Amino acid sequence: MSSQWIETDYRFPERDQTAVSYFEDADEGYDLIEPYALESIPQFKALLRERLGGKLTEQGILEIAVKTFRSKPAHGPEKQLPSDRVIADFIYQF
Amino acid sequence: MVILGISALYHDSAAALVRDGRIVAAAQEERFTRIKADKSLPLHAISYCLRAGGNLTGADLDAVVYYDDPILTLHRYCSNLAAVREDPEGLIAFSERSIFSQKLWVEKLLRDHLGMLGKTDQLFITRHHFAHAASAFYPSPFQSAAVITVDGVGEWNTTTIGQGTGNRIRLLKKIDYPHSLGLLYSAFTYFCGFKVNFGDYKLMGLAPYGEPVYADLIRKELIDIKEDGSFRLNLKYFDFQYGRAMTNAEFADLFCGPERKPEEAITKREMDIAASAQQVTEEVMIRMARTAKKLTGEKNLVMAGGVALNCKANGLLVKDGAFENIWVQPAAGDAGGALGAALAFYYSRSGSERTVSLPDAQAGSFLGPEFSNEEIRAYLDENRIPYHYAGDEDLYRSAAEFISEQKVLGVFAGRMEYGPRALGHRSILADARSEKMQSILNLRIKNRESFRPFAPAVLRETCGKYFEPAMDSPYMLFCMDVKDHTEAEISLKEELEADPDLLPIINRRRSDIPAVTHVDYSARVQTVDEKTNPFFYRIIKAFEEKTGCSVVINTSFNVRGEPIVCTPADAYHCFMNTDMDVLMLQNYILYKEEQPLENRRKDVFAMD
Repeated sequence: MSSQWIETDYRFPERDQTAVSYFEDADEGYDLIEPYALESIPQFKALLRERLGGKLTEQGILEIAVKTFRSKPAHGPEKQLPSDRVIADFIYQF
Repeated sequence: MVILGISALYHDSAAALVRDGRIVAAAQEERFTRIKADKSLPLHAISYCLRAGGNLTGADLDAVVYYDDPILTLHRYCSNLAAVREDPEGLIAFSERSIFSQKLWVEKLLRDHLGMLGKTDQLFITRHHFAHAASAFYPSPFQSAAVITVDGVGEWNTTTIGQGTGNRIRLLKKIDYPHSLGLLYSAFTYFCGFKVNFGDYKLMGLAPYGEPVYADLIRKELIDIKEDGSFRLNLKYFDFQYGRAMTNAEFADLFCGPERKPEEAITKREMDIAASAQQVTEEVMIRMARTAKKLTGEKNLVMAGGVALNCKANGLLVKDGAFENIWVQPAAGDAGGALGAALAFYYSRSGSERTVSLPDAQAGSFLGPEFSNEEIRAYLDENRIPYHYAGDEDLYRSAAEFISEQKVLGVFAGRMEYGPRALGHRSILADARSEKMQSILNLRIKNRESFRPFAPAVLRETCGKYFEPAMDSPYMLFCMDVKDHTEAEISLKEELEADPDLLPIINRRRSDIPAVTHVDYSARVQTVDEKTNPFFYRIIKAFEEKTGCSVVINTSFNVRGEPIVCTPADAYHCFMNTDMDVLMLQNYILYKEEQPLENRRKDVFAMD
């Protein structure tokens, strides 16, 4: 296998990076260990809803959820990714 | 522009205050709460920084900056959660404790404490590794430099290579979780029976006793190291991704048995594992540095992140010669993130030119609280503690006498150090010429493992007389070789096979400064400069005038498990709890034999 360095060009953002305004950068660095464990989704959903509901917008929660479960695995067969239907179900329940 | 930087909620919390690009104050929370590597919100450190800045309030600040993006960290936790198949409930509980309970609410927690989060009342965020990079580059003496950050993990990143030029930093390459050199080293720390995040330096200290017989196995099974210093861990041997232990049964099988339990006897196996882990770490760091050189073309390198505290690897980077100059942030671990966050924000928002300071802009890392002679005397009088006042010259002369008489001397002076090393303001000093002093200090004073080496402090201008390659190392971050050492008649391996007891080996005279000469003839050197560290310089100078030797032992003023002392009261309690002979609280000298017995107080600290 060749170099494991991931190219980046990160600088301190020009815009204000405050505690609730940084979603657009959050799609960096997805490097999952193994394909997803779908059985953990119900607990995860409940936790997100409970803990984040007062802090972030519904859209923000969805964004975390989608990005989390759509993350590309570093290795492992692609067919083990959750299907769009699973993701749709997941999002719907928020 | 006044900026408060904060690192917290992972390990070793800290606060730092920067005014117009100058570092005004910085301190770790552990020093105030007396909890080693305290990770709680650094309320005491923040209060200290605001006081040091001129009794500021939250509303006086231009910005409050936190060193880690909690949403990205949440994202990593969630992705990890989704990726591991086993025990999702346990992992959720772990994640909840670790991230949901406080980290996401850091803005609210800080606002509750400060009232206002600066003039905009917003919490600003830097990326974890960007904060490390900023802590390494901005205070460094270089106008431009390659930047390397390496730690366990921060958000997604575990390693970055970047470039700093003027007042700007760019990160160019990165390696992401779970592939982490810091976590690999921590896995060996754990497996050898030391605490993760506390015991990494113990593993480094143990390494010279062993032989790197497992290095090839580590390369073959655990980490795939590329020519350019990038790497990939073989996750089947690790358990950290499950939020449990660092390593699993398959890892144990590789090393012929289960992990050593804390406080169990250290065997040849642990020594060899430590040597092997150290060798592999050095190999990765050297390759990484060469890649950074190739990428940036810079002649200077700066580093931060917990792995940058590995002074043995740092010393090899100097010898490797890819860079002409290397500067490492003295608070290279997470504590330094507070400073990096504040400096990153300042240069990004102010657009100010950055003027390079010599020898650097870290002020000797003496950035913590200080106490006047009047305050110290008031404390001593109030507590009816016997003392003797000494003027400056008498003080230095007395210190030299105590050390030369084989007494163990605690010194407390000026501003407290920022970072894990005591650099002469909160230090225990002793005679480096004594072959017995290492075991005396370890067992009688510091109550720590007998194998652990002590560091020498040497007058900067005489470094080349004792050590090679001679270089500036004011923060004790580079290992050098002891010159003129005496080679053993038999190898360390044969010695250990004949008698596994380490004490006779440790006590053997290896050089004219045996107490600071490690078994591989290396030493973690602090060079002491007259301008940046005058108090300590004058003590060593007086010792040189008396004995002809300009090297003393310098170890941190604490006992095992205790943070380095912060106040005169901390210093007195530590003095009374140990067999230390004399304490100097600035100009006040306290002799153990004159102290009331009832002042002995047995503080109990959890073993680190």
